[in-house]
Amino acid sequence: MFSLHQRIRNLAPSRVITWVLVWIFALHAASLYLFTRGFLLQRLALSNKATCSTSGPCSLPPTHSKAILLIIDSLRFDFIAPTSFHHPDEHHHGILTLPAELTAQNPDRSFIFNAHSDPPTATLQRIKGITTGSLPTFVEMGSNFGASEINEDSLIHQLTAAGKRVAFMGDETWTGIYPSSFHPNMTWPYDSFNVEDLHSVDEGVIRHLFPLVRDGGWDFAIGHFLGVDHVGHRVGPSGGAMRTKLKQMDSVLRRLTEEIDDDTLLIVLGDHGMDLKGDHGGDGIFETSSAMWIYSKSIPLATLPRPQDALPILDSSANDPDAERSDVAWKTFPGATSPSRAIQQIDIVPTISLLLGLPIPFNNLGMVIPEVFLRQSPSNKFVLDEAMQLNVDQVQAYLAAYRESPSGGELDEAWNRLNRLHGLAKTPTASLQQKRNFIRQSLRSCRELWAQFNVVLMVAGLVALGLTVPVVWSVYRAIDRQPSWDAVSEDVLNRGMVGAAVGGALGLVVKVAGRSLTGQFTPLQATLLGAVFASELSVLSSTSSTAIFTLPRNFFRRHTALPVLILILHAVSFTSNSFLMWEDRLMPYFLFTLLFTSIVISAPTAPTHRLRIRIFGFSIVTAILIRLIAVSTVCREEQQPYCSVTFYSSSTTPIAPYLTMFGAPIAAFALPYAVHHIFLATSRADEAPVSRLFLRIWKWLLLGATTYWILERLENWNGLNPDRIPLVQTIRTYLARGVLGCIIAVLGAFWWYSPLSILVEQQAQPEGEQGGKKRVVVIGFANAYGSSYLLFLLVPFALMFATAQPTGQVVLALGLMAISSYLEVVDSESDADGLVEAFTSAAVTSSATQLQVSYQKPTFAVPAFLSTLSILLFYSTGHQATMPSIQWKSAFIGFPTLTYPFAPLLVILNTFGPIAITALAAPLFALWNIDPPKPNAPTSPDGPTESASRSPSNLVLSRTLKLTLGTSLYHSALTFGTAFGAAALRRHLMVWKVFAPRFMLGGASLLIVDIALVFGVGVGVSRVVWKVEKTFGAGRAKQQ
Amino acid sequence: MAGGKAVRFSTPVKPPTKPSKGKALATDSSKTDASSHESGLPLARYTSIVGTQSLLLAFTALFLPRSTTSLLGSDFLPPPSSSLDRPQHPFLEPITASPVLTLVWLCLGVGVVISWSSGYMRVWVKGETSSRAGNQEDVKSSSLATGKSKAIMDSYKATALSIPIFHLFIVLFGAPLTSHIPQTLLLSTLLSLLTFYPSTYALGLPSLTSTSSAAQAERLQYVRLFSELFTRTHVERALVFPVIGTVVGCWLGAFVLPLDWDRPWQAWPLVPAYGSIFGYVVGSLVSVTFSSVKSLADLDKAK
Repeated sequence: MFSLHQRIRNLAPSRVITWVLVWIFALHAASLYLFTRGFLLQRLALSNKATCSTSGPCSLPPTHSKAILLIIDSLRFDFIAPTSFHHPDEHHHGILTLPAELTAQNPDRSFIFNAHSDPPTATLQRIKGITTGSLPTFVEMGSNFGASEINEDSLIHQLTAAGKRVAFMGDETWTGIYPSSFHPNMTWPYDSFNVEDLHSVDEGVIRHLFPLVRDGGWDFAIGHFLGVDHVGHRVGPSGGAMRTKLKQMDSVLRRLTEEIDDDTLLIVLGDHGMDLKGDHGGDGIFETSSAMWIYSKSIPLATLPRPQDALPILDSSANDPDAERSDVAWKTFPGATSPSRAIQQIDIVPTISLLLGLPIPFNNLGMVIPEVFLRQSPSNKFVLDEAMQLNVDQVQAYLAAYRESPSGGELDEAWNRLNRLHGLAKTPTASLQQKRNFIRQSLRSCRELWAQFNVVLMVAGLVALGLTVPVVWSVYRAIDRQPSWDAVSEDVLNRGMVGAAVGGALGLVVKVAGRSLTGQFTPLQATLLGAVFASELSVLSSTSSTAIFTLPRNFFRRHTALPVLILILHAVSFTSNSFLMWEDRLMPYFLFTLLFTSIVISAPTAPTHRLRIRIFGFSIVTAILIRLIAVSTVCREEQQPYCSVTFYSSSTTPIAPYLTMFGAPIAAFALPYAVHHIFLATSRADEAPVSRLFLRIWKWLLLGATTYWILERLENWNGLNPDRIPLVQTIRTYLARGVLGCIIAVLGAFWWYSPLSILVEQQAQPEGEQGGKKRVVVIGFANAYGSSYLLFLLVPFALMFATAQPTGQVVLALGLMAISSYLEVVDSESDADGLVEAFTSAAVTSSATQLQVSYQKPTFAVPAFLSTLSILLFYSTGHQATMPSIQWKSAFIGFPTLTYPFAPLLVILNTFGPIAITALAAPLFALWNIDPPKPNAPTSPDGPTESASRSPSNLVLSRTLKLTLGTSLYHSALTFGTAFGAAALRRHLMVWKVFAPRFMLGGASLLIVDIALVFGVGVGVSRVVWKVEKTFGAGRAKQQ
Repeated sequence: MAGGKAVRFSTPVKPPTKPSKGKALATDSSKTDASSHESGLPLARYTSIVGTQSLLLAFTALFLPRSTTSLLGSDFLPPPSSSLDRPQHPFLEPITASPVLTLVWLCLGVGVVISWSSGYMRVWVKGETSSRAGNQEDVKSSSLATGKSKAIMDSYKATALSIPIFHLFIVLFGAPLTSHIPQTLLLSTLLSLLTFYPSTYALGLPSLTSTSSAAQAERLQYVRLFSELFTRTHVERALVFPVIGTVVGCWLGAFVLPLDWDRPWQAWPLVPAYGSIFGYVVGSLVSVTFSSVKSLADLDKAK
């Protein structure tokens, strides 16, 4: 312990800050890892397709030539159940009775099942399940990175591969997953997310369904009704509207069963159920119990005796010790008087495939439904035997392929067992029971891997993440309260690291020793959990942590209270889907609320005319820039019709509008000019040769980056000679490579080795003093830290700029202007406060001749502004908190084909660049216009703390620590809000559509912010401090 | 800022005279004035004015927009737009049918009510100023009567000039840039009427260019009241609190805009407009309560 403490003490001061930030990053990463492991279910989607080319039969002879798959969204099992209930609900029991009536009349042709839908019970995931037969999870790492459409094998794929015509009407989610599989003349999608609208989708389906049935011309028809689901969300299953809706569905089915041909198979199912409030998304029994009805109009399917006596396979799983609640063959729905036949919902996939004579989709994990194969084939074979054999072979092929894949390691634990079961099942003499055991065990193993919310892990991760907020806040506050910031951060590092080591060891020991306690965790998770909690608690338990319970002295002044209020409002807004969907419009509102106080309060009350004008002017300029940035948007679909796409030229053509095609080069010209002549000029840092040269290189790189997009547009221009296209493509590829390479190699190295942005001149002494003698004047001295860091910031900015699309480039340019402009606001406000303070103290001491203007401490308004701006920039650079908005195009900047590792790096830069650049700007506010230690001056005006510190750059470092902690704190709270929203609302209709993607954005941006802060301090600030101390500190050291 | 900073450590800074004098002036007068003028709260008069004004504003907000249908017939408004399975209350129908017309009515109503109540505020302010000066006799007859029509015109001019500023600010908060311009403009008008008119009419327009000490004092009074939100007398509270209420009410009103409730009253800019009127009323009521409690406490202290 002692040596650790010594090591920390021996670190250079800027390194201490870096390590504190690294420690916070580690806390965030570990908490997010734990939470995601519990929340985001993931699996690898294999793109293999089942074909008939291999030896042996791939399917059964078809029994039906046509099939209609009707999905009644949220149709819970009890809505059509043939059983009676102890307390029947008049609003949904006994209304949709046709399936039960027909099943009672024709037990050989009509079958009702209580189908178990795998969570997440959301429509998109269930549609994937119903068509692929797999367990869909939220994160599907496809081998083809980027397409939202499904690339796994599916029923739909098998149908189209067999040349069948597929008609579709209803919920447009289907056309998103299968954009090109449906027959173009027979596709009628309807908007799915307008929950207010109970009828228009259903009416649309009905309008097209019956003519389609009458006219023919299709082989497979899919209809997806949404009314029941929307009624559920609106009024719940016990509302009056549910009765009307189910009656309507009943009459539709009655008419349909009359009108369909004899050889049409009808399958009606609910994609999932609904809970007692009518919502779904989670894993409750009401949500997972969905209805399924299979009806063959005239062809009998079950000609052998009724199953439960004849077939051991349908017995409740007495011979399968591992059977789960969800997996028994007979289940009693809550409140029902008798059990009903229960299956897995995905069982429908192999069943339909084989009934239609198609191969079973490659990824399927379902098992054929025995009832519909209970007959002798023409060749006198037991059809169920053949079906089960095909099913076993297909599942085995899938498991083998998954085992071969990069994610195959997931199967390690289950592999031996599955192999043994397959050994039993594959023999020609294997019983149905053995085949069943293998298929069901495979499903169970995969489900364990992919499809369970782990609530314990989720809560652990959430608490760990939530605790980082008070932890960082306590350190943030301690810097102000304790006399020296470096002692505080050393203490924090010490406690944090010792805590992590002890806690990690403890977690591992508990895991190894007491398995029952920690069964939910893997050893890695147990170690991380212990480490994170112990680290956080040991920092919180330090003496300085009482700071969290006391408000800062000036808390209720607007620079602290207002940003905190905005942070709370922003974090709370993540529990509402409305605010979350409109978050991009909230950002200018929050930002201008901050600026509004500067305009209305700071500007009029500033003590000098110059400051009044500066605060007012720069606040207005910042606000206008922000409003302009907010104009650019790619609307998310839920924002329609109140949003029009401005980032692209239209919502259907993903190319930049003409305005920004011209705007981007102008921005590339104007931005270096503005940085040079406005933001560096106020401190005269523009006169330094370093600044001039740097900005000149920078300008050419920005111009190169926009030229790339002009060439790209030229390539698609009709007037271009088609033979020249490869030439243009080659030029732009090498241009992009050159620009990216130069930014890193030339610009980066230039900044690293260049001296400070100052100009040393010899001037004649002003008249009146001893004439003839010359003195040395350092131009740009007052902002030596700030100007040098600004140049540093421009290097990563150029990288972000080069990976952004034209509209994004304009937005980023405006964003940099807004940051710089706000920098002037903050600087002027700080000067104003300092002057007022100086007057007040001067009035008290009545020695008005000697005014001591001190630097004001950085306020929480700066992190609030930067973090809010980061989110605005994210949205305005053409992103949204949805998967489809990721700009995959950026993966190909400089690389015509998908190239690793550059493609993902470029996409990450494109997506998170705007967030990283604002985080990198945090130290700029700490360094801007802070005087370097003066050469030949024994003391500096930083107050009494100076003597206690070890570094002449003490002031800038403490400001840097405070602002970087503030930025990290702000994003921690936001990300906690997104994680909490996603976890608390995991049964919300829109969790996978809205809350989970926002959490993923929040988690990723938190890590990006932490990394950017570490980079900014570890590279940028450290180097700037080193340069300044080398330039100005030498004389001082000699003198002492 | 380099200039300022460079000065900071090389030569002692000479404090700019203007603001420091203002500061001193402000603090001095606060010490002397507070005791002598705060007791003079015309409680009965003020309460009745605020009460009537609140009732009138409530009437304006809830009933005036109905005049469209009664004047022009129900065919004039577009048909109800709410969804059929959850119809809105018929009371809201005339208000939500056309936000622009509703806002026009609100502006007209608020304009009349505010003009009336500001007249009283002006008398109150002048009364305090002249009683401070010591010649109570002249107040009503001379200075008020002569300057009245000019003051009204000046205030209306100032109010009209402030409308574009409000418009700019509302757009900067995120209102649509190119669409809904009449709506935003009407909301700006409403806000100007609620905030600019009463104070400029009661306190008089400050000159923005004059460098005379009187003009500076006037400007500083505005800065103290509306930037520092620092009030010393009952009448100042009566002017400042409703302004704070209006701005906060309008700000809070924007919160319901993104909600997906799909209600007709969520149309821009109905809720911020009603929020600002509501905020104005709440501000006035808080000011009455605060002032009466304070004057009662002062009376008690005096005994």
